[in-house]
Amino acid sequence: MSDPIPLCAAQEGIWYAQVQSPESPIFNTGQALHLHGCLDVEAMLRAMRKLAQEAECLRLRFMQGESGPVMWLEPDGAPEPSFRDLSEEDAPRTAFEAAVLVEARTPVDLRRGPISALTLWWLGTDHFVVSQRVHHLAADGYANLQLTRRLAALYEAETSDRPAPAPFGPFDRIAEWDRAQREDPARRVERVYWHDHLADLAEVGSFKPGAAQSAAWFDRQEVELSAEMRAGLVDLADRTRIAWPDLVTSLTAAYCARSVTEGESVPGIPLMNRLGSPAARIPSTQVNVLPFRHRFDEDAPLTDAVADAAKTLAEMRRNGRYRGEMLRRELGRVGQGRRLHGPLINVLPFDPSPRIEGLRTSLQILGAGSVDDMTFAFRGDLRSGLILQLDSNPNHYRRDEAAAHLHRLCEFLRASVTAARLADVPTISKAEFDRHVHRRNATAHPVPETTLSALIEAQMKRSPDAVALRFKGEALSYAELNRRSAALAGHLAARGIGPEDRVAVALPRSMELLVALVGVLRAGAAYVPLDPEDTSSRRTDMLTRAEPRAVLAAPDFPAPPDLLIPPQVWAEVGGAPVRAKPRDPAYVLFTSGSTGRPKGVVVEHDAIVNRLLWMQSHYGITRADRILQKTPATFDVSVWEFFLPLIAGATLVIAPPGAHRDPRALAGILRDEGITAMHFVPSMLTLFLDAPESEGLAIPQVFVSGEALPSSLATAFHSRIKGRLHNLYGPTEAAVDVSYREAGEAEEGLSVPIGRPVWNTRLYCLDARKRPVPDGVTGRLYLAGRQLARGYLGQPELTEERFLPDPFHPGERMYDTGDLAVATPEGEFVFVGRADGQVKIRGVRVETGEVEAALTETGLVRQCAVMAQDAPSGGSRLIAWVVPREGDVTSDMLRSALAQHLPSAMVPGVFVLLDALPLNPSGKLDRKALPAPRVETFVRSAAEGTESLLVRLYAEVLGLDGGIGPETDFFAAGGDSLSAVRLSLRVEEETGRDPGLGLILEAPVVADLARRFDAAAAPYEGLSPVLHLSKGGRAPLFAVHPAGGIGWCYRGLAGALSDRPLIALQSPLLTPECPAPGALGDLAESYCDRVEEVVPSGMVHVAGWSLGGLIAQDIAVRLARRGRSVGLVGLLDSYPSSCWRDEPEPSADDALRALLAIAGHDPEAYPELRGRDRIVGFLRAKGHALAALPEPVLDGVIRSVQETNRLVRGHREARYDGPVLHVRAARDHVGTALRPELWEPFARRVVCASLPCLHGELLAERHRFDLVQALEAVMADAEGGANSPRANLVMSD
Amino acid sequence: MSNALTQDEMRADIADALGVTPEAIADDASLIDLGVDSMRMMDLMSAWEARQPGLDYMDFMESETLAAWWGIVSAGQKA
Repeated sequence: MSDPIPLCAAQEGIWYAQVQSPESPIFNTGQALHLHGCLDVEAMLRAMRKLAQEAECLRLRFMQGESGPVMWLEPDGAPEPSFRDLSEEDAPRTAFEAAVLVEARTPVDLRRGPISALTLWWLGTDHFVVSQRVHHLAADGYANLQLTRRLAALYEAETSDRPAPAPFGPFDRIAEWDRAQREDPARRVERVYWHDHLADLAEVGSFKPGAAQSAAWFDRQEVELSAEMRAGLVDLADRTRIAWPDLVTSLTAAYCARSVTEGESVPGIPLMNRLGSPAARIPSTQVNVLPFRHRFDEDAPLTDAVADAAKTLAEMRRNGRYRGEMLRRELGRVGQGRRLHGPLINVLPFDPSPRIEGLRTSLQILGAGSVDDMTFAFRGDLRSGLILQLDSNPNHYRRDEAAAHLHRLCEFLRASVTAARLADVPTISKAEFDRHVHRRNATAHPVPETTLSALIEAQMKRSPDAVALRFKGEALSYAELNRRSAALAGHLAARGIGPEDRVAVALPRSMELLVALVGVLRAGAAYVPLDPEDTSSRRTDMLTRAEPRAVLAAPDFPAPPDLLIPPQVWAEVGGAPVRAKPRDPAYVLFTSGSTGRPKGVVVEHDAIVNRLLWMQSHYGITRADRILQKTPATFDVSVWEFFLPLIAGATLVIAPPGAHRDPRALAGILRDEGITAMHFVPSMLTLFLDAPESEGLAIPQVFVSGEALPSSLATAFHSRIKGRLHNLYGPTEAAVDVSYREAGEAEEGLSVPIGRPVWNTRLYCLDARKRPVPDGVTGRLYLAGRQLARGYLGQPELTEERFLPDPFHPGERMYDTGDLAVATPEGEFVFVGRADGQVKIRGVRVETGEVEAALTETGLVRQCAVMAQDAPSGGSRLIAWVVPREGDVTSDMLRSALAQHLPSAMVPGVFVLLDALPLNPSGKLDRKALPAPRVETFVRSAAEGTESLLVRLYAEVLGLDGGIGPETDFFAAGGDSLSAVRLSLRVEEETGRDPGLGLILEAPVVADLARRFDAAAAPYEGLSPVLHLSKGGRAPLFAVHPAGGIGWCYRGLAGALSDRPLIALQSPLLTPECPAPGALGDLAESYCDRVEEVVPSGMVHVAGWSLGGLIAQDIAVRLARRGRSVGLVGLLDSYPSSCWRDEPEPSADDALRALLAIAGHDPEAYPELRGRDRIVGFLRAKGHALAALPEPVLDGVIRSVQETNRLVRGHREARYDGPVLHVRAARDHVGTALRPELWEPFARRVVCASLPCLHGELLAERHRFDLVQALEAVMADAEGGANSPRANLVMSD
Repeated sequence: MSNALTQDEMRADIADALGVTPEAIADDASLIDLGVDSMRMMDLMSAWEARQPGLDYMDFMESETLAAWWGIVSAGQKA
């Protein structure tokens, strides 16, 4: 084989990896055979020479050929063995270790050679070593073993009269075999197995995020497993009846699954790949690394769990000839960060040292190829001794991190042999447990048991003349604050308000706001801040749920008059008689709930006192400080802004309303007022630093919280501002902040750590089973200690869900933040993202935070946000909103920049370039306000009417000549909030109606805005009490709304009737101001009035679906009493009130889900749709008009569902002296007591019909014909019998 | 050789390593298809070699059926 031939399958991957870093010696494999005893040096050198000649692989050469890499055997290319005498060295062994490593790490010229080396070392007296080094292209670990064994045989032949066994075969045969293997039909079967086995493989993760390239060498650490542990493993292997190598491999894989930071844990298993192959006799490289994909059932008995894993391993071996390199290509897992497997697990269950007569031998493995991540190697066996060797990539792992894994794996194995289930095996060692759970949380610090009001009062007495507050150039002294707040406290106390009461405060930033807050606290009550500018139903909801005893707000604030106490009427004199106790609530803050409804967090004095005293002490806040108050009172950061200065005797400088959003105004205040401490949300700090006015400011202490603090932002801060930057972290549920970290100008990593716990506070980073995770592994962050809130106001279930028992401190609680974090080896926490921020894009798990970080790293963007949205084609797609650093950045530039760092699934499909990201009132990124991307793939021309008008106005306001279509997004096309105001003015000029700025912000796409604008034109049109759905000359059918109050569900039925008006009766409860009727009869009575208004005389038919049937029956009773002729009384799968009397009250959520039924979807089919946003979003996606209903109407629907249910429960049916028709949904109600006969006591006769459907489908199109037939038969019959076929109709339309 | 290795003992050892019954190891079945790999073979082989010194692992590695392995062992016993 002196002519070049293509590489074998096993060599290709190595070639390409080596070509990437030609100078790296990492692909040098090698081992050293230590020989103790009387060695015949000459005989050994002869044996080495023979080996060099016989093993053809040692003289392989490689180069890039025209159509790919090639290899050949260089005729005179065999290595010349050398002899090195180290016996004169002071420490021969040490000298050898150093020298052999130098030799092993010599880069190789693959084209010119040599690619291998053989050296005999003399370390003194009877210690010799034969080292061999071969490039991995020519040999793998097994081939090295072959070489060493062959050398031993050749030496024995040299020193005895026994001939050496048969020599190695010719290398040619390897190439032939490889070709045959590639073409073997068995590969197709194996391919199917692997593709099936790896279907939906997520991103493959490891112990650390990211993937580093193999370094030039690896780090090696090893431990010897104790005899006790080996005995335990033998016992477990016996019990499970699986071979111990599989047992050890499986347990190691289970350990890996525990420690993987993100993505799927898929260890790689190297298979020697020799069996039944000529490579059995010919040294070459054959090793095949295949992914061990297995999901461990941690709850199953441990023996079953490992037996199950062993089965996967056996499957894998059966299909083990399929090349891993091939799989990588086929599955698109080639290149940086796209791996097929994580760390390697290699069990070598045999003694590799050859036996040589007269010599004691031991083998030292020097290298076995590249180490991209980590390689766990178990060498030896359970009987005589087992060494666990860990090779790690020093570019990726620090030595101490690798050592920790080695140690943890040992403990994991030790615990596994006695555990009943994998779930019971801790991930971390006992020492780590002690460190993570206890030592890092040793934050005990004496804090007096007192109240916030007591601390403020004490300070007010200490420095009465000092300035407490400054606002717009005016000052208020502590004495004055004391007087006014005491008077207000007295005022409140006089109304009976005290501890455990709540007082709402809805005032803009002002002196009065501070007087109000301090006054409420001094009265012993808790304050509930509400945004005075917010007029949404959200605030109304909060006000209702807070159940305040008083509302401190402007006179025009929409609150019950008996509760409203505007500043104008606050008492001027008086004392504060009541003192709160430490465990009384100090404030209630509403925070956004994941379900979309805000939740009120109740924080006690004791908690906030701890937080404030810590801050005062830790940052040395004194009377000399001037602290800026700019955060709206509804956000928890404001709590320390308000009260830290007041307990420290410092001056609180109140920023004028609005100033917090204007960098220029802010800079002015900072300079003019000499601010010494203040707060920023990171995104607001970015904007502030971008403003020219911030240059060169001195602010001694700046605190940031609320979002991850990018390291680059910390750097920018220090280059512009003179002062210290402190990163704080904490949820509202734990009294503002629970951890802290100063941010320097050169922080490692993408974001500044959130640091360590404050006084009397514990942070835990736990896995899904609440077990502590190792350092460096992402876990969920839990908080415990003195600062925890009492819970959520009026939501005990939610409180119980998020405030869990602290597993490490019995009797105490811990709060589940839902945040993901990792701990550094130094014990600092780093915020990683939200537990729910994870999305799947084309099956790949994607953390949007990671894509954001990568975008930032491109250097092309200033700010960005990434979210997943449903793609028009189905599935999810990533959308990136980007504020470019320079004006000329394009989507294509961003896309190609990202493609270098991220797998394609993580590169956003759509980029929306913006001038600024939308911020919410607290200065955080407002994800909901991010403009929808323009749809580029679907272009239609604008419809006549509103759409066309909007197309014209968009172009006019944005100054664009064309390019505006129905799918144009106002903001994506260049609009901002200022131009949105102009757009709204222009729309009003043209139509006489103000669309409202809010609507433009919510629906910035032309088509959406047009639809919403038109829908708003007649908001209650479809909701009038009487809805005429069809016309005709025959007696009308009144159809009564079901529980939701809306009668739209009868639209289809109406269309199927012939010459008959169908009039839907809709609930008055849909109108928010309408009082709820006292009884179902009252409602029915009012419906009778409407029936008579619409049809003053003649026969009428009534029917109702679901709860509507109950009302219809009562209407029939009442109309008959009024002397009206009633034809059909149709009970469409309705059952009398007795069936519902004992049912539970529907919750608001159940009521919401009734919307689905109203829209014609079976709620049972969509159990995942919970909460208003999701349900409305679903309906919007389905294009249902309900989704466009204004908020108050949706509230009306929910109210109607709840009220109607209540009315039904209290209802007692009267007997209707006529026949009723019951139409049964025959497929439903199996196993329930719901039967048509239940109506028998309440009608003269019950005629039964049934349709083969479910309750929710009764009005569906599929069954409409049959339904109409059944109804028409009765109606026609009644009309004929009553002899009055024509009704005298008064139609209003 | 009263303690000589037998084909059925080899079969039982292979079955044990694979966690299957000895009946599942047909003489001419591909041991690879049954789940034996090089490493497992080395493990088996080192146990057998303790019983019958002089076995060459390369001979075993080259073939992939019990029949072939037994051929190697029985040839060694006759020698």
